[in-house]
Amino acid sequence: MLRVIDRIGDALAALAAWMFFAVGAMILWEVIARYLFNAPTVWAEEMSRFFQIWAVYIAAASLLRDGGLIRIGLVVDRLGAAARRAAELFALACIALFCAVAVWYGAEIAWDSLVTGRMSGTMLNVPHWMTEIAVPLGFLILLLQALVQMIRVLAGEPMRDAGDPRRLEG
Amino acid sequence: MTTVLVLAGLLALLFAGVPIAFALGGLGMAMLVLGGFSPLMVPQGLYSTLDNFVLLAVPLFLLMSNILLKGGVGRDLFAAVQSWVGHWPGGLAVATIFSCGIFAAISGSSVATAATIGTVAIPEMEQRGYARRFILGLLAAGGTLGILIPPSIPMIVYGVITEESIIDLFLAGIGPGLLLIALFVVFAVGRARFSRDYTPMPRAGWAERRHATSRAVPTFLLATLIVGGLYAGAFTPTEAAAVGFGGALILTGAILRTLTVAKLREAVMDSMRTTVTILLILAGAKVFGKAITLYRIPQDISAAIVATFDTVGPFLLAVGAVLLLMGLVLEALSMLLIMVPVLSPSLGVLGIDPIWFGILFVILIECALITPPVGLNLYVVQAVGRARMAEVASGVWPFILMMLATVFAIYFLPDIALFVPFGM
Repeated sequence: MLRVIDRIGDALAALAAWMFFAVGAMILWEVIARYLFNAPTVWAEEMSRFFQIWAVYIAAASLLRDGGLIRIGLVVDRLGAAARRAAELFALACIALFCAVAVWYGAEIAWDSLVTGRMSGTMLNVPHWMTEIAVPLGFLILLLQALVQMIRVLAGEPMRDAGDPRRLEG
Repeated sequence: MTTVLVLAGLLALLFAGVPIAFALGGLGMAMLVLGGFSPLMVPQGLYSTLDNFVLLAVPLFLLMSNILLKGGVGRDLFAAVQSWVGHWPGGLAVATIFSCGIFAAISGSSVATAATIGTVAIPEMEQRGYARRFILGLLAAGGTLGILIPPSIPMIVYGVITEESIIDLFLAGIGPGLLLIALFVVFAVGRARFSRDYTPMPRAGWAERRHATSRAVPTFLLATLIVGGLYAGAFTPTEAAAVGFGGALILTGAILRTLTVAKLREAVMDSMRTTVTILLILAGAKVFGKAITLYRIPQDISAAIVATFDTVGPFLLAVGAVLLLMGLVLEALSMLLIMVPVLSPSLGVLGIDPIWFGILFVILIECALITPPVGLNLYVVQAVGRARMAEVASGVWPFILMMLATVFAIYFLPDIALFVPFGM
């Protein structure tokens, strides 16, 4: 059961990765279309923004599990095993709480746009909810993943150092 | 009072190991709820942060540099530069600095720069008898060029928060970047002249130079295209990044033929992870930023700053001191996202050019990246060079001093930064 959430998260993260790749292709095409054919597209700018919103939020769950989210390990990594578990549970609880708010009120916004039929009013004039729904959906998956991770910590699975500096950026 | 409580709360969450994105976002959310503001602002903030075309430069620049990385461009670059300057006193160190500088022009991250060049340069320099402390310090410091010479992810973030032109910021980083390269080179050559612990390299022959250079030229051209295109105003930063992405694919896939499908997949996944990490922090910071603005914290701090400092110099000294202190425990992006929204209202009042301030800020962040005990570049160099933290830490201090000297130079001569974007 827990693995199912992991797999969904990983599949979404892989999808997100190629969505960024597609964004690169779209904007590159936009530049080529403008300079070489003097015919800029109407969709590239907007589509790539939509892709960004979707990709970031659906990939968050996978990053939570593989320790990709940056945090400060200065204190927690020096704690004893029990205190570390407590800190980990606290951190996951904070994430879960934040996610719950984002899901609840994010869904309210998307639902409101759906029933009132709000459109983006841009070139493509897409219904607003199509992008707004990315927030509650993404954070719902992250919420589930945070709960799964809490179960794992409680079950005594080993944890990785928070100060693990992989993939940090600056 | 509120300000102190908020700061204490933030530090508590960060030190408890809550991921930075959620420490910022969570605290912001709690403040909104406690202050009686609508929690709808949370998803609104999350949505509006990413509904931003400019930010797309982040994933695209990352894709470009990761594709080039997996295509082995770092090795080619180092070999080419080494064939030209390797026989100088301290030649390998000089080659390392130049390689970092060139790689910085295709990468917006100091970690990637330090890791890429470090992997090739550290073993070579060790073989030639350079002191380990010096090698490690050099790489940690050379890596920071990655965020000063355009493109630069922290500058994109700074530009997005302050709504300043990212192109101007990029261009303003060139002068100080070159100055730092010059200082590092003088230091490396001078050090080699007065030291006996290394063996000079033989001068490379013309055939070797031609061969090594021909492999590096396409990368060099790509870097020139991007910086030149930004300078000429042909591309926005996001478009420049997309062009770089396309160029990287052609270069490694068709010209050098070093990119395989498996490597491309790795590059795409790595870029996604870094992008999502950075943009989530940005989204969390947006929620936090809304909350502190509703509590009027930036305004209060700004009023306090204006009441305390009537001239620019002491203000900047105070900012620098705070940043170096924060840098002892925080990493670059969080420092930027916490400090800049709070400080930017004061800039206008004190008549400080936000582009100039941005450059000073980025160099101070660079110092923070290499001041122990917390510094991403330190970790990376430590891992790549299989060294102890104490070794790296003892090697970086001359470089920190040179960076601080650069900050002072730019303070007294703003044109070092502002000449390229704005002219005299």
